[in-house]
Amino acid sequence: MDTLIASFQMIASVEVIVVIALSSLYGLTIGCIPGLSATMATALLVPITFYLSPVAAVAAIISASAMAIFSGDIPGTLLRIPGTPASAAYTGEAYAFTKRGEPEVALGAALWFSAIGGIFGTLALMLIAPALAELALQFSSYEYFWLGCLGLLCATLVSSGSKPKAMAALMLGLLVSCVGMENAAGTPRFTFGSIELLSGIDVIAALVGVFAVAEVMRAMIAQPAPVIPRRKFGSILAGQWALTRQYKRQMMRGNIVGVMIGALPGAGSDMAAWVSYAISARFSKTPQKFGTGHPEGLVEAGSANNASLAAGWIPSLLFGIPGDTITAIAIGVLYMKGLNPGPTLFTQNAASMYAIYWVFIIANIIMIPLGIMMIRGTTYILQVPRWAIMSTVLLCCAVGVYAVTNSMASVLIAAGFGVVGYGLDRYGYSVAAFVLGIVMGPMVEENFVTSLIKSGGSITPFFDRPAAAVLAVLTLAGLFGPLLFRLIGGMRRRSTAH
Amino acid sequence: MLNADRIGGLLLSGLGIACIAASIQLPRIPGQPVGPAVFPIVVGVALCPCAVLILLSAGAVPEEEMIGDDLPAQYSPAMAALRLLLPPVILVLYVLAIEPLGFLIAGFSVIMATAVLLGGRMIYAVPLAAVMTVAIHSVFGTLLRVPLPDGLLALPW
Repeated sequence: MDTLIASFQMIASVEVIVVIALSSLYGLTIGCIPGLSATMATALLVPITFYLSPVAAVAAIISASAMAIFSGDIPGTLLRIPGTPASAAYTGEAYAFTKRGEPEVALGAALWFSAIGGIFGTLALMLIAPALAELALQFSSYEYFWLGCLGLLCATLVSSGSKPKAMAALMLGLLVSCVGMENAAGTPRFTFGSIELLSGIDVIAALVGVFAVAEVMRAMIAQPAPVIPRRKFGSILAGQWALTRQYKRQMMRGNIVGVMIGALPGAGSDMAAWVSYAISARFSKTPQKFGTGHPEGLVEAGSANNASLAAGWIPSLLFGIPGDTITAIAIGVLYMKGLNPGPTLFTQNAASMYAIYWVFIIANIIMIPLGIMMIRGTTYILQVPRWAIMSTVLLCCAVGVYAVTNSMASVLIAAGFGVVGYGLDRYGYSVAAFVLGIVMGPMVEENFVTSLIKSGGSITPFFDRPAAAVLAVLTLAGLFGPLLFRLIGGMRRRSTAH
Repeated sequence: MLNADRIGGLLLSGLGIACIAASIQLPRIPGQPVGPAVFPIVVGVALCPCAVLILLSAGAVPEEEMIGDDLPAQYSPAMAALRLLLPPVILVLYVLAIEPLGFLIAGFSVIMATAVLLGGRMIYAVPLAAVMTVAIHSVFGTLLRVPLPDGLLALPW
């Protein structure tokens, strides 16, 4: 009870309330601008969080990302251009409502079910994370090493493109994390004589480069979004309760799938929305209506993407393994603020944990009134020309990364990683896997080297403990399973051809 | 995608081998079975088969399925490549200019250059650049106390 009261006191401060309100508006604005993703909104917010208290910093990220994921549905519905990748799965469906003259229904469903999904994801986080923390307290460096590997492997397995490319992107990310002397031996690696590189490549600068500078680069060659016609909307939430009752099973399924996908490392809200929309179409009694402005898929996928957002924090808070690219950035902020992820966070810093839960719930509740305001104001925001937004974003990148490190080398790193991020995406290498490699590299290396030192260089202790053995089998099955299946499939096809 | 994958595969395999070669030369820690070399060696070794698989499967993905293929017809490939590189180049120039010129002039130039390159008209780009530079300086420099260099021009607050 004391912890609960302490957590209330943490979020009841003026600082946290102002931060939640401002970052919510920021997230809503960035999310509804096509080309600016929720991840980018989070990356650009990090330099500001540097100057906030720990709870306020985490609150800023939670509110901005939750709002941005919902807000991405607005241009998707009105223009058929998803504001964030998380809305892409059902953009066609939502746009069909606008064509029929009923954008309010689609926008209302997006808002209502985003909020419900977000609250469900938070409840899952509140229930699952402490239970897993008990288990995680028994883990040693061997288990953490395998968990890290499993997390990295998941990021490549769930990527939509070529698996070797995703794996290569992951290895590149791990290589980036090797730069500098932040290793167990304190030996400079891959620094090429540069003093700036001795402390390693700053993760925030790299992420701002990959997500924000690359976006400005993309804008240089892509067509701007068409201007949205001004329109007046009817009641946004009318009919949503009826939809909730009619599609309660789909909503629950979306929430559960969202939580499951969110908790998987590397798979974020965009993956949750795609999978949920596909499941909805597969199990629908009226699959022929999908794509014609049918709310069923919107309900399921709209709940799933916001549910996954909260669930992405489960592995992040427990093991320091990001659930998606947003929590990959959030982990950096947690370390920066002394809230080092791990099961002890739940025992030694329980009040902060409860405060994080409260922030999630508050953010998802205020999403409804702020979202309605945003929907009504969208036509004005989308009038702002792209050149004005992108040019400001570029200067914010430069100032933001400098603010974190006070070194101009970080601006150069952001510029370089902009090129790398754009190149990876352009040629089908998973950017999410690359980012996860950068963020998780130090944790995986530390546990790997510590385990090897403990075992005197032998690898048998990596499989000795029961939990480590289970995790090792899962990792190796994930690594070699798909290859084996392909080989067996090929042999079967060959034998039937003969 | 065929050529891009071949080049990508070759570059990655080169990087993997270079990483292993450079890591082997890292100093060992006396009395310890493992040193700073072990992790980069593992990563380098894992990178090589990935690169080979990318090389072998080059061209397997049809052109129309290519991810991120958003080049519009209005730019030639050389022009598109040049335009793509402009934002990072602008950032590099910003780093070079900020110490002698100061944040206000360098920041103004970043916004102006990017805005004009993205099709903004001078008459709107100039006031936007002025207002945004002062606003960003006020938030980061004044409010958050980030030491942004003054150079030739400083704000009174």
